[in-house]
Amino acid sequence: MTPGHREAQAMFDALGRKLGMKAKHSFSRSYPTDGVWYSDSQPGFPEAPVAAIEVIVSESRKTVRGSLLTLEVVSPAVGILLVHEDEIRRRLVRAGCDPEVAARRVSAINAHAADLAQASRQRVEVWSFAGLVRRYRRATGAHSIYQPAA
Amino acid sequence: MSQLVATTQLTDVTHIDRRGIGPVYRATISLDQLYGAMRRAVIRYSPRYQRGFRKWGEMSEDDLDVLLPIADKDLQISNDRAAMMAVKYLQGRLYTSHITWNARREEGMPEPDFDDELSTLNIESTITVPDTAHRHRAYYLLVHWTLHPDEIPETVDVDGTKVTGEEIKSRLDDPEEPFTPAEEFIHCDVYVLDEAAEGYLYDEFNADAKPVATAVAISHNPTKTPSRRFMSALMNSSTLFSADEVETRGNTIGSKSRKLVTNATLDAAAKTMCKADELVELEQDPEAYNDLVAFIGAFFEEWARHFPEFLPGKSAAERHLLRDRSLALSNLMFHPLMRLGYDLWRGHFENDEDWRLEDDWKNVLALLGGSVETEDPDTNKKIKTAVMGRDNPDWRGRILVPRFDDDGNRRGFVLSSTRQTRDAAYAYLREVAGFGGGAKVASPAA
Repeated sequence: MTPGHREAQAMFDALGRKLGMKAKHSFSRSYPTDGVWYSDSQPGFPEAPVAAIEVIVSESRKTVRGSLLTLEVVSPAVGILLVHEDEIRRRLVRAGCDPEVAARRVSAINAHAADLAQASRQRVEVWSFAGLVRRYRRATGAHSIYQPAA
Repeated sequence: MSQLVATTQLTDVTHIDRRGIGPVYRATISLDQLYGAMRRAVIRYSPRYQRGFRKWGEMSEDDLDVLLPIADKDLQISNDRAAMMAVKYLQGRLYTSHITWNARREEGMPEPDFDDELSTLNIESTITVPDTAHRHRAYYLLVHWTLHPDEIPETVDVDGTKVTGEEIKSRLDDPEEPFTPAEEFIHCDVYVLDEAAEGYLYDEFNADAKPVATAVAISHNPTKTPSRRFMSALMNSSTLFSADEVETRGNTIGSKSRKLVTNATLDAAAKTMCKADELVELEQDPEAYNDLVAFIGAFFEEWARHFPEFLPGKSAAERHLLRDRSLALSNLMFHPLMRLGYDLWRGHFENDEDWRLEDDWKNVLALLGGSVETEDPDTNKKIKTAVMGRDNPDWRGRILVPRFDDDGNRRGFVLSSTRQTRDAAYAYLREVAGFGGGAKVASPAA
């Protein structure tokens, strides 16, 4: 797992806890999401996931579809496909891709994720990493997990 | 027959008898009295047994034996350093409270006469300054500025920060605590030694003194200079550079240490990332300054995404393995990286852009974290190699110098960290990032 991927997981986890959720790194061995939030369960009711996230760090459309399928099986109140634009672009540029081309390829994967989310029977949102950082900052006051909280 | 005798008398004197050295007296005198004694050249500087002259080449052997007033401009006493000490005194930051004299033991001259009952010391021989010459000049300047305010310099550089003449004057005239030479005191230790022993004393005070490790000095006084303050701000704002990650006690990282970098390296890198005045100016604009600190933190976080060994908590083994194969975590690389980081931040700052919304600086680091095509000088073949790889031949002649065995055969390359090689590394990083090196090296913000 890349540092960027792990960072997104850590941010989602911290964000959930800050919002009063019970946060876990993964739903199950068979369906290992990148994070899942639960609200307090009531006696007699099963613990149900409020939100689950899948972090996409590759351009593979097959991987995006796999991530959506995982979210659909977990079936949280809201599923989140996080297209980690920074990590995808980072890997592309590092491998020699022109930054502008990399930006276009990130847009394409974003559009693909949005199409899949729209076609899903579940409530699925597409987030960007920048969007996660924004939410994390609002909740904790820090811009990154490496910055001490304000 | 007449006798010409000039006696210097010190009252309220205490003394100790030091094994093999003899008496060492201690008096407490006002700066007013000290200034008067320096003006009258009662206390003098011996070029032969102290630092000597500013321009050795212009002096003869005989000149060395002429004792000179402390205020003499030809002596190797830095007026800037003395002025800095004077200002520090006014700021209440000059801690050492004594000066040192030697009542020279001279042929035909009586030994200093100490009256036990009256606690008075009478000195007829020459009084020299075997050490503390800069402190003497500093006290001289303080009293001189009080008497001649028009001679207060326009600015004095105090640990990298400019203190204006107006501020110095206002401190001298501070209504709460005015500088009154007759009411400011110092201790004065008086030895009784011959010329040669005076040289030994100077040697012990200076050459024999082991300077404290830079790392420890920085750690004890982290806010002394603009670069130290920047480093402290960075350490407080990014866990990559937290106290757990930065070596603050030694100048090197031990083979078993998991520390990322030394505080001495961070301080030196911050010192050269921009012109000295720029950092001081930025300190006057807290919003911009904090933005720069945040950017440099984010810049190295981004670097850590390419080289995860940078991340907090990584083990010694992981970090040393990276150092073995890559220059990404070498001490040297912090210098050009921080300088490049400053360039990138400056570009956004001057264009009034929020770097958090921009990808350009991340792309630069992705390029540096990636590969480069170059020619292998050993085989003359084109190769693709990691920019930061130790085996990247582009580093040869820049920061890698050949190592030879006893038979004169080349046995690989070693890293050389000097100002020139760090400049060369900076130029190369700029080149790989597509900014161009060469002439722009001289102007980091270009």
